[in-house]
Amino acid sequence: MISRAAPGGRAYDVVILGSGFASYEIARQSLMRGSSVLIIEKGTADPANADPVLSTVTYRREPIVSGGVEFGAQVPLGFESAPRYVGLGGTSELWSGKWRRLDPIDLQRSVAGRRWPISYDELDVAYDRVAADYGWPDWSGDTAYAGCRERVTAHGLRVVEMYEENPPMRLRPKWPALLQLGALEVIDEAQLAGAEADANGSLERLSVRRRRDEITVDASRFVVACGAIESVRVITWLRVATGMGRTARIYGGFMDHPKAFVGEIVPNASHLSLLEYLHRARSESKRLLAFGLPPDELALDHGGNHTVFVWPSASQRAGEPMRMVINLEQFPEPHNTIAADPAPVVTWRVSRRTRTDAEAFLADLVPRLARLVGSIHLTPSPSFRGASHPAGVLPMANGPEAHVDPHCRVRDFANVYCVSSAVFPVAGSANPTMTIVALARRLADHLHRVDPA
Amino acid sequence: MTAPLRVLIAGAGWRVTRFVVPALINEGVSRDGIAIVRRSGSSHSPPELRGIQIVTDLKDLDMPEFQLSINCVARESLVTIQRALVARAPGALHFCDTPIFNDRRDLVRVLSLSRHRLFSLEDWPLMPNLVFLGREMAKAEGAAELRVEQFGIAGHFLSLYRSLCGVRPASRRLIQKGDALTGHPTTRKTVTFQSPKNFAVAKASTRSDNSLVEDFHEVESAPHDDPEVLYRVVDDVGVRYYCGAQEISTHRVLPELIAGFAPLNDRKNVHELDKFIGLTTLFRSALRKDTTSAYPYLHSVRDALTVRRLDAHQMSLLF
Repeated sequence: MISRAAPGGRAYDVVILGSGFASYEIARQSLMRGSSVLIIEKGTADPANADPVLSTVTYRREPIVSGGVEFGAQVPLGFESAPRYVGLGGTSELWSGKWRRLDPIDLQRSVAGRRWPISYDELDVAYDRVAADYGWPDWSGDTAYAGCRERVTAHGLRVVEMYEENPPMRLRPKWPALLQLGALEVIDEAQLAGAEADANGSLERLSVRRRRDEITVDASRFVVACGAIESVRVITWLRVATGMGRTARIYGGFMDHPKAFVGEIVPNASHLSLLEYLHRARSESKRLLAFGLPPDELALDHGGNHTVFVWPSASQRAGEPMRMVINLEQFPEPHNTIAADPAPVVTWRVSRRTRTDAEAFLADLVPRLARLVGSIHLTPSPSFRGASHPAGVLPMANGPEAHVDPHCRVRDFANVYCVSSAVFPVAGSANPTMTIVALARRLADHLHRVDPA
Repeated sequence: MTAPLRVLIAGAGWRVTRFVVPALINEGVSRDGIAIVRRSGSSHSPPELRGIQIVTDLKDLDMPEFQLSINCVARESLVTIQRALVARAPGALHFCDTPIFNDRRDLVRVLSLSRHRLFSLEDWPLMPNLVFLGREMAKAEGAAELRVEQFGIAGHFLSLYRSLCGVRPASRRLIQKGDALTGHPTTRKTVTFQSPKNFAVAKASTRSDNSLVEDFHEVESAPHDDPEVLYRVVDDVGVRYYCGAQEISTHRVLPELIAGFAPLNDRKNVHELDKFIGLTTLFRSALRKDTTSAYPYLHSVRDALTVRRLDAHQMSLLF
């Protein structure tokens, strides 16, 4: 049962825009600490009334559509082309359940003048808490893993590990349980109608319209947590509505994880034990293992930290080819943008530089992987598509020019924060959900330290 | 002063109303210089054909002579009508829609037509975006690939391939793998056609060791400076094609005819605008009696036969 704020004025400790993973984590942490929370969701709480059109994104160049359907993701009927879900639960309704941390090198190196302004150790603390809270399995009993890792490492490769939750967690049914934790209200189908800020950059009041009602809400903190694309639109709207600071219309450096089938692996009998282990780890332990290059090599050649997946079928037999899928790290480029006002338009493509980098990566990786798993036949000119992992248009950084500071505070505002993959300065090739939740956890801690309820 | 050319069009379907008549008008042919012969005597004519004489029998034409014929009738009547047209005006210049054979006996009849001044109505080899991408591939010193992804049909692709690469013995071998059809005009050049049609993900591109140019069938409001993107800008003159900040060609098109392809944020419409401009280029030359840019009809016949063979096999030689 989702409550709705009554028309008129109400005051909350935290107002959160959006209801996906970042929103859920901040709300959960805030409620556990006794804060009152209001969720403002543009879409509906009732999936029967969810409109796929609201979840589409206008794009230029390459399509911004579902990144998972072609690769087996299960999505609600009608949302097969949607790159996001606008409605209660956010894009958790569509995601494929891969919980993966960024790699240390992703936070340690500068790319195109960008670098994460926080340490890996600091983020790793948040990752550990998220892993514990969101149910990563205990794999300590998996004695075969050490041998697998040793074998992969001996071939000059790196094991990339992630938790593949199956079926993936959907947040829509989890929101009602948060009501038990304290003062939570949710307004769905809400349109932003007005905003007021004081001279010091504190957002004081938001007005939202729901059908015929106009609802005014006051809060000491506002968190924009409605996905990388929508967050840009909302922050732009807040700047315009309050007359606060410089208002950009086009945000550069948009990134995704270009994704493609890049080849086939024909295993032979001597390689089957490793492949059988990979398959067993995935199906029985939800431990999805993929391959990358060692970080010292990446640091030397400045290439992207790409990931190669080997997809065995459920009934894999000796000699049957398996498919190789690559998730590319894309570096920020000025021509990949979001135009934010009035409705977001994403301009995105995969440049020659990224393609050349991918080819160099495969040239290094494939001979090693072939010695490990079997002969590999590369696909000539693979067709890269987006993975619906939008990122990077509001990169977190130090200094007054940063779109958001290391605590996710939005420039020019004293009390507006943003948590989404939009704030990633560098995106690696990890599926972004776990990092988004970790940043949300970290922000919740920060808000409680700065201004405990 | 020479008399204006008279043009006879066979057929009055979508291709004629959307492409052929507008392209002729764009190139200065007046409506009273065009006549249409169609199968049925429908009382209703689409607005695009207003002011054009439409008959169901050639003997009813006000203009007994014509110097240019354009055959766009349904495929089952294509050969029969073409034979009638060349018999009626053996000295005229004739253009015929791409032949599709269901009956091999048509082939003999088609080959007998080839001694006339008969050309294909194929527009792909003249589309400005594909011409540019083909040149980019040709001028690349090392390896290069031209890709046509998820728009068009194999017959159009083959006309592009043949126009760009010729038909040297080495370039005739075509490999079909899954939905991809690939030819290698030289050892380090590759031309690939990826089906099926899906304009949401359609694009044409050329990639070499040193460059990448991609065309997403987009019209921009103003030039930009992404050097890897081919696009169009529409202005009072017509349609300008750009690669990054560089203007690569300009095509005069009447504004009211461009409006017929709106909305131009629909990639299918933009592709059709490209085809239309290809057709205007063809007609401009033909109206000057210059056929050097026209795609030979026999090539079209060979393409159609190749498509038949591809439908049945994994590998084929271009006829």
